[in-house]
Amino acid sequence: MNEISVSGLVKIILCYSVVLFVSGVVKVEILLSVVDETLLYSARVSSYMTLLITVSLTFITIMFLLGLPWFVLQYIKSSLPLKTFLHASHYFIYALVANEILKIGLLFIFLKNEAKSITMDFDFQQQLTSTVWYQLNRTLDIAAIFISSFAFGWTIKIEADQNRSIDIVLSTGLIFAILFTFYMANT
Amino acid sequence: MKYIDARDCRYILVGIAFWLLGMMMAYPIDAERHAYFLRPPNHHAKIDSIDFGMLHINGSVFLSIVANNLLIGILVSAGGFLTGGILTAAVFTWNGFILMLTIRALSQCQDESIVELFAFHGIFEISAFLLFGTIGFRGFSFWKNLIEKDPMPPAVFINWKFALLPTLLLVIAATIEYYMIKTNIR
Repeated sequence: MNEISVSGLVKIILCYSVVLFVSGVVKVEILLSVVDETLLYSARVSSYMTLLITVSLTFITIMFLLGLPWFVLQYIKSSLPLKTFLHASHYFIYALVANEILKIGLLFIFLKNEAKSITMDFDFQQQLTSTVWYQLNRTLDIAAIFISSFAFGWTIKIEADQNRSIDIVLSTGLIFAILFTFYMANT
Repeated sequence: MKYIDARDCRYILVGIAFWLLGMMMAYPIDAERHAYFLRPPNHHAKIDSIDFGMLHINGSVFLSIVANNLLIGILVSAGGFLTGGILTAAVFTWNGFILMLTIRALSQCQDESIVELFAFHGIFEISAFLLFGTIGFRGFSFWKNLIEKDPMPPAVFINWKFALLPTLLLVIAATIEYYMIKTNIR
C-alpha cells in the first residue's frame, strides 16, 4: 500500500472512495429510519444511486485536484521529483481518510440520536442543518482542508533536496484553493 | 478498422444489463404515486394527459435539449472512463429506474401522442447513450492495467471519431423530441 508510484496513489484514492461510500451508507441508513414506510423503497434506491454517483465524481475530483498542481509545476519547469509529489499526495489522502473515519464516528455519536427528533417534513433540510452533528461535520471538513493541505506541503518541505518554497506555496495553495471552492459550493 | 468490435458489443450488452437492472428496481414502486415528474406540482389526479400549452417552445429549447443530452453523454463516456465504468453503470441503472417509472405511468395514459413523444426519440437517445457507454466501460481495463502495471493495450485508448456517431444520434433524437413537442402545442 505504501509503494510510491502512480498506481500506488490510485490504490489509496480507491481506499478513500470505499471509506467515503461506507460513510455515506451509514448516513443514508440513519436518515432513512425517519422516512415514511410507503416512500422507504424509492428513497433508498435514489439515495444509494446518488451516493454511488457522488463517490464516482469525488474520485474524478481528487484526480483533478492532484493532477492540476503537478501540471502547473511542469509548466513553470519545476524540477520537483515525481516521487516527492506522489509521497506528499499519499499524506494528503491519508488526512482525508482520517477525516472521513472521524465523520463516521460523529454519525454514530450524534446523528443516530438526533435523527429520532427529525420529522419527514418540508423543512427536513432545515431540521438537519440545525443539528449538532451538522455543525461538527462542517467544522471537521474545514479542519480537513487545512490539515490535508498542510500535510501535502510539509511532506514536500521535508523530502525536498533543496529550497522548494515556490513549489510548495504554488502546489499547496492550488490544492487549498480548489478544496475550499468545493467546500463553499457544497454548503 | 471496424467501427464496433467484439469488445464494444460486450460493453453494449453490459450497458443493457444495467438498464434492465434499473428497470427491475423500479418494478415494486407504485408508479402512479411516484411519477411526480410527469405532472404539475400539487396535482394529485391520475395522469391522463400532459398540458403542452404550459411549455414555451422556441429555438433555445432545442439547444437546451441537445446540451442536456450531450452533458449526459460526456458523463457516461468521459466520466465513466475516469471512474472505471462505475459512473456509466450508475447512470444507466438510474436511467432504467426512471424509464420504468415513466413507462408504467404512461401505460395508464389515454393520450397516444404522449407515448409517441417518448418512444420515437427514445430509440435514438438510448442507442446513443449505449454507444457513449462503451467508451465509459473501457475505463475499467484502463485502471486495471494501470494498477497492475501492465502495459496498456491499444484497444483501451479511444479514437475521438468514435464519439461522432452517438453525438449525431443525440442530435437526431433532440430534433424529433423538439418537433414532437412543437406539433403537440395547438
